[in-house]
Amino acid sequence: MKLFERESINHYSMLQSLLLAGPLLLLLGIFYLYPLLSLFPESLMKEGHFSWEHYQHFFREPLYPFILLRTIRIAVYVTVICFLLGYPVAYFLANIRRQQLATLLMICVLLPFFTSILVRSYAWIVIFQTKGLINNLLISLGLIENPLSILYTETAVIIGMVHIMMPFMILPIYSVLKNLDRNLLRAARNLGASAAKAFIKVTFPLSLPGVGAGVMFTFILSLGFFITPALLGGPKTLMISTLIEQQINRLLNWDFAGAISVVLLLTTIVVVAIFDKIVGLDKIYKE
Amino acid sequence: MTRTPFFRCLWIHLLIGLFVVTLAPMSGLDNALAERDHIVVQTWGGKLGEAQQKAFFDPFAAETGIKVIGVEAGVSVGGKLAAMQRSNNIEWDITTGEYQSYNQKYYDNGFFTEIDYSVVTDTQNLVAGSTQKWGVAQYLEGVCLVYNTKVFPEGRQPKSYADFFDVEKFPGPRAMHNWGGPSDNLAIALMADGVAPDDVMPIDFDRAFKMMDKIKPHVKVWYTSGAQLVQALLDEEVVMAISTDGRAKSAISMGAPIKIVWNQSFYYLAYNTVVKNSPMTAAAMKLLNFCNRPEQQAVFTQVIGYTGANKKAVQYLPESLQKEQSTHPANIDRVFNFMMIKNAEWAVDNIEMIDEKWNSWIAR
Repeated sequence: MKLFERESINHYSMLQSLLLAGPLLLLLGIFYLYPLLSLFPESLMKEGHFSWEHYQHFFREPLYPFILLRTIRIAVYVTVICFLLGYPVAYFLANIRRQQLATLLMICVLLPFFTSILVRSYAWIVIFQTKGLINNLLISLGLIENPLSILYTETAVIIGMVHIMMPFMILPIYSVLKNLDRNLLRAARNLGASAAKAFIKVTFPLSLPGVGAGVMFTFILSLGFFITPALLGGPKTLMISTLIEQQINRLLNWDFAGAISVVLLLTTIVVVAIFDKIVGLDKIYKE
Repeated sequence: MTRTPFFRCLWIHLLIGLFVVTLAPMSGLDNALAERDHIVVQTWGGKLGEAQQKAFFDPFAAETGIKVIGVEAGVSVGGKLAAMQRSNNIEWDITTGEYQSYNQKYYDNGFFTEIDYSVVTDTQNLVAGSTQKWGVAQYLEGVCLVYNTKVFPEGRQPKSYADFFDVEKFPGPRAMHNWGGPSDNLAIALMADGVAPDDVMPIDFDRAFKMMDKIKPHVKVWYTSGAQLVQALLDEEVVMAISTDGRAKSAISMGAPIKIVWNQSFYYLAYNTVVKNSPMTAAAMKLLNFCNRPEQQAVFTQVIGYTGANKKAVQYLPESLQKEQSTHPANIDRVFNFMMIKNAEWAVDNIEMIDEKWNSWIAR
């Protein structure tokens, strides 16, 4: 970590650092920033002329704001659930004494990363469907008489998405908790704080940078989810990326697809800014 | 100057980076200009792609020596075609399995070459509407009503779309499609309300959605893929569905207790097209002509179940399969081509508007 300390950065001039980062900046600029920025002029075109038409259409047609709000709502649910379920796991992982057990649990957390989203979504179909695992279990236990409808509902989509997003929440929190200075906790306990109080006053505030990073990852990635809502959900879980896909692939209306993407991008930035105001994103960068 | 090696190293990196980024698009250009020695065909993969390979691609290669490679791509065909033309990197020579509405749109956007009917000559026996300037029909995909025979035994069986919409006489969950092109769903709703097929277009949205509203709470599965529909029929998750004939047949062969209602059933034609600026245009036209052969279409039908567009293909099928085909003389007059009803082109021209109205209705 020495490389990133302030003193060593000062060894290089501004120009040198810029040149060092040059190849990567060039790559990102050409393959990421340029296409992204070229969305703007494209979304402002209608039949070859400048026009606000696509943006007006977005807000005039109730469908698009409605779906945008739903997308944000689902992303918020997923983020909150991921946090509530993920934090204890990260805390436990960071505090395990036995190395083998820690490794085993880490593999469990990381395993979903190695399977494709498609395969995992299909696995959930098998579990949720009318004659699937859950319904068969509940019926054979005599808890319910008629099978529950879980598949093709928002519940199914949220469960599927939480499963996929979990590592993005756990890993940043884990890495912060793991590197926490334990002496602070000991000092708190020494000074008479209960375990719970020490957690609330010391551990949790210090883990906020990890929480912030995890929440950001989960929320932003959830906004753009595509496969899971399409497979596990029905029309009531249509999310904005499906609408963008329809415009690009089926209706060939790339200008309008650009306009939807720009609105989504701006919404994301606004939400992140609000989040920054409340939690303070700068905590993520400086530890 | 201790700094020199550092900088030299850096400039080399920058140069390599620049080289790579300028070269990448250029290599695409090379691809477009270079003559290929094989034909690349976009397919929908799975059993359908298998059937095409066995019935058309392999025999064509054996006869002409031109290799044919099937590439699986389904849902993103339009976007990919647009990207290929924009970047001038033509990866496919032929597209398959798409209906007229989207093909027409792709052609209007300049993605397809006009068919050379001096090469594609064997078209006399194809069903009406098969020969378009942008493509030749390969097979028929029927749309029909299916019902569960356990839930609706003899005497209480649904017979028409009106019965599909009658939830009091025929209660139970249903399935309908929610993939591209919702105009057939709306047309079915209107037919159920007593509108004749020829009066369906232009769609009376108020009337159609009023019918759809009645049935919406009872549609449990809005399928977005054929596999999803087959699963729902097999699990008996739904008691009735608007299905494609191919998927209904495969669900039956897998043991689903369902029956097809041929009454009011209609079909779409699925076309082969040639991609504009393809380096293999001449060979592609030859393959398109080869695909019209009735004996090859019979091979195709035996793998996938879809009926070939050549009316003569039925004769080459085993006796037991012949009666199941919409082109069989006993069936051909009972079914109709959805794209040949009066004002059918209205739905093609207004595809965006219909999609938007449908999405607004279904998302709520």
